[in-house]
Amino acid sequence: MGAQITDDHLNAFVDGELKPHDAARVTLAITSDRAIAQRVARLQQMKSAVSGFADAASVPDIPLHKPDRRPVWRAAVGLAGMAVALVMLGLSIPSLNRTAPETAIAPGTIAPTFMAQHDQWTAQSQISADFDLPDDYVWMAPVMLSSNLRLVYLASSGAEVHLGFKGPNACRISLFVTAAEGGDGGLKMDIAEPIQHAQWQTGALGFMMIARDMAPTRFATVATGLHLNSRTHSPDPAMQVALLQAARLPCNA
Amino acid sequence: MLDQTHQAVILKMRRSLFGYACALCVDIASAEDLYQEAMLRVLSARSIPDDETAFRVWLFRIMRNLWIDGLRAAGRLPDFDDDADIDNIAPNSGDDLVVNALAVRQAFRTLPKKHRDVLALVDICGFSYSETSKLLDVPQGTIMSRVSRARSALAIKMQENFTIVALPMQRPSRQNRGK
Repeated sequence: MGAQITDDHLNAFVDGELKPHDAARVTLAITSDRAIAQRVARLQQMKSAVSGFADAASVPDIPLHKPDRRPVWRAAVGLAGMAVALVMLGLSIPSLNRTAPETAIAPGTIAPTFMAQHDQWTAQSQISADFDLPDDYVWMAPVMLSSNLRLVYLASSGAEVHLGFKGPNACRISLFVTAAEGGDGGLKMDIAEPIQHAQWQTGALGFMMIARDMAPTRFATVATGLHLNSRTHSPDPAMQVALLQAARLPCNA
Repeated sequence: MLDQTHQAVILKMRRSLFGYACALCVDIASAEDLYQEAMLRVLSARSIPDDETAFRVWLFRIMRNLWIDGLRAAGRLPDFDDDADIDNIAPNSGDDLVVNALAVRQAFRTLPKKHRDVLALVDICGFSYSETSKLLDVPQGTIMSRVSRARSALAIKMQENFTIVALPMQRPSRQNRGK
């Protein structure tokens, strides 16, 4: 650094990037020159303010998991594609289907009461806050975090629980959990727009998932992920990558 | 694949990563998308740097490259590459400014992309000039002058914002009202 102390040097001083000898020179200048002292003080204030630029924003959660040996990326793409394909074709895929074949269900079989509750919730969800998942449903967290869906609505009536999830791009998903007779029912889905729904049964619980105008791939991937986790209660790494990818797909509701 | 050391670094850096995304994108929804997409690339990467510093640089470079790809796809890359306004900023700009955090952050949002990029890496993400020079593939001296110019530009933006919101110090007299 020459005799002249430039603005570049003052900024580097504030960033702790000057060599000790040069930093000493700037320090001396600060003590003897009020204008330089004020300039350095302002630069430090600006640096401090910029450093907190995103402090108020909540960081989206990304579930990390223990690695396995499988090529996750390929498996994820495959799972997402299969989730949609099996529904559209009414086929079953062994890796996703551990107890019963998934099948497509005919449109219009959704219970009107669920649809009405979903529409009622979405109509009022502008003033919603985030909830923590209840203890009984924490197994949903990896799927919902990967899908960038947050629990913003929770209501229960008798044995029925209504969980409302909100995501970017105006996505809203209702998940109804009801009491069911024991047994495992395979995943059934209708992903034809404008109303998508999926249902399955795990033990004594029945699940009904509803959305409007959601990208079919996204809906199918979330439903498949929830269906798997409701049985295993542990996330599948490939499925999580598929969910992350599908999370960028839009909703129009 | 990510081992536990890499995962620990990501967990430690996630606020900085998201802060960087916010700085680049300005609006939160786009920042969430960029962050999500970057994490997707990281989780599915086949080759990952072993060295922690290199890994940190690699993480942010993935995000930055995605952001630049997005600008390119939207036909807004010339906006990023335009250095004209960067070279015309006088040093010591905005010296008579009263600095407060809110004003700085509002002004930061309106900075040209190149200024936001370098200031975010140094101030939000905490990279040294040396690390930033590796990340941006430019000499360390260039980083030093870019940071200086970016802060000068920030000070100018703050002055502009201050001018826009400034209220008259004195009430107009009754006689002058309506003229």
